[in-house]
Amino acid sequence: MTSQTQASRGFRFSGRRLAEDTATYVVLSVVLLIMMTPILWLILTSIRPLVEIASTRLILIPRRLVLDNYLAVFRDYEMAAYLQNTLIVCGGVIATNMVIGPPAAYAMSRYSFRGEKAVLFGLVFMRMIPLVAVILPLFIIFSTLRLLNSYAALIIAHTAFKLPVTIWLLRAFIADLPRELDDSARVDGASPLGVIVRIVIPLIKPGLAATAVLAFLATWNDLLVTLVLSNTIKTEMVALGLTKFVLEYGVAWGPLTAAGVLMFIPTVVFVFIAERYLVRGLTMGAVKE
Amino acid sequence: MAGPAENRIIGIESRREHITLRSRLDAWQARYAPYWLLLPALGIIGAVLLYPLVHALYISFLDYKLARSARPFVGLGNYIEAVTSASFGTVLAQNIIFAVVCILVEFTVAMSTALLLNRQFRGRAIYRVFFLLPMLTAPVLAGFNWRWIFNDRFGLMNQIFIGVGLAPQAWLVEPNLARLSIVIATVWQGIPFVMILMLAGLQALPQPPFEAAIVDGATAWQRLRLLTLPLMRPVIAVALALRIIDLFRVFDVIYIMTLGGPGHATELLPFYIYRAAFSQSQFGLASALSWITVFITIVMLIPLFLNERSGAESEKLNA
Repeated sequence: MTSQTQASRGFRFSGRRLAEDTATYVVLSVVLLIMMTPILWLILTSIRPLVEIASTRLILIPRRLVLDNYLAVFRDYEMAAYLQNTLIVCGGVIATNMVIGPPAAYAMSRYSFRGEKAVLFGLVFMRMIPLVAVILPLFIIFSTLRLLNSYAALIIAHTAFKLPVTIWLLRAFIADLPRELDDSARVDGASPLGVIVRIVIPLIKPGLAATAVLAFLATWNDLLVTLVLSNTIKTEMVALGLTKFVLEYGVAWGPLTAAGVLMFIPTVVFVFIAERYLVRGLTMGAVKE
Repeated sequence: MAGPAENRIIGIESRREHITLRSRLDAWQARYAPYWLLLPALGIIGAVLLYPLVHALYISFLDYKLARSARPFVGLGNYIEAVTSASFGTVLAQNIIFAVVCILVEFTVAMSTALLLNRQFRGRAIYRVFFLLPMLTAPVLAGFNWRWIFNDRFGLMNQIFIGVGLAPQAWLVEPNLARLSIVIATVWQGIPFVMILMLAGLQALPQPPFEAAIVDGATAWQRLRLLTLPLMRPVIAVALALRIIDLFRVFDVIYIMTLGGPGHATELLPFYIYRAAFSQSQFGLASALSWITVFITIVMLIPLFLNERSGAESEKLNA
């Protein structure tokens, strides 16, 4: 093969490559624009004056930036309480998951014991059941215990709902650690709990971050648990709060979209600061790496 | 506990005793360690998930209405009532069709997008980050987003329709349009999830077969059909299983967008169960419906599981 043909081939390839790249950009940008539309529209609606919200004609960019809706959600609605309740419950759920999850995950990945298969199957099964099926008897149980409308009920329920995923993910992260590390520590006389606290936890920090973020978002986003287990402002969470903008005579779209944007902020923050861990957490188990 | 210095003073005899005691303790710990390490987790999962499930099973055999204190045993009465009622058949069929349509749309779009995102190009990471946003949006918020877009008077969809000279539509009122709206809201969250799994699968593919295929002159389409898809089978199976499970758990979007209406047009199983329990306060019937849903989900996953197992077996044989 002469150098000339090689050069022309190289040129043809790069030309084709350019065309392919351009097509990739165009297609992906169109898909992305469609996917982002609901979010962009939410943000745009939240900063519009009322006349523009109640318009049958398409107005893409708001003519005037209005922050009334953001004031209204705190002044006319109980957004502050919803956010506070949700943060408290989320904090509780992350704490319990981070304390209870690692030892369980460690047991699942480092020991073989009688009933191991049953536990493993149970964890997968818990991912399958419709939550409606559980929430109904849970409502009866919590109302018998007089725990409805308490943070405790919400934290306990959410903790249990998140634990199977937490254990499942942490188990995979621990399995990735070289066994010699904790074996040698155990030979030196450290107790299992000591090994977990001093050796395992520092090494699976990315895993803990991923599971904490996933547990946070799942709790933050949940409607069903708060819908059934709380019916006073004392414990209502933000997802249920959004439904309070549906009024008798219609939906208060301005304040609702403002509240929606506020609810969306943690999602954006976590996606941008922890994208790699999030993806790892979401795909772990499905793909062998 | 005796420190090392103390041991030295006490002498060799008791030290040996200490060691045997300690090793016995170690043996005990090692033997039962997995159990006590798991105990808190299993305790709370048992109390909050497993026990209620079993309790639901028990309730499903009772004529359990919240307002009434008498709860007579009715055997399979609730199950018979559930299965024979006309609305259950409609809702079940609707949920199955809904799941099939969503899965077809999600996997087609997600696979195409993942194949594009798997190419090396500048700015890839940014696209990938933004694609995550819809799936991590609260389903409640997704429901409201789309309810607003499909609003018949001021919604974006009708604004666009009027803008291009089409008649505005009653999106959430006309049964088939309402079904379409629900599917759109659901796949909006499902596509990114499937896409992320597919992308991870693509990135984990072994390179040599593809290099060999290129040398042999296989076209891109052939490589996709004969190499990528078969090699991706385990990932696709997991994604399918997770989506089937979740598409039989869709609640928030229905609750926010249509409340199952118009009529039963967009009613899916979880919302149907919720209504039986909390609007009609028929807890017995609702519990029976819950268990029927669990059963149906498992039945749907069996072929997938068996297929995957036989696939793994034959792979093992080939290797």
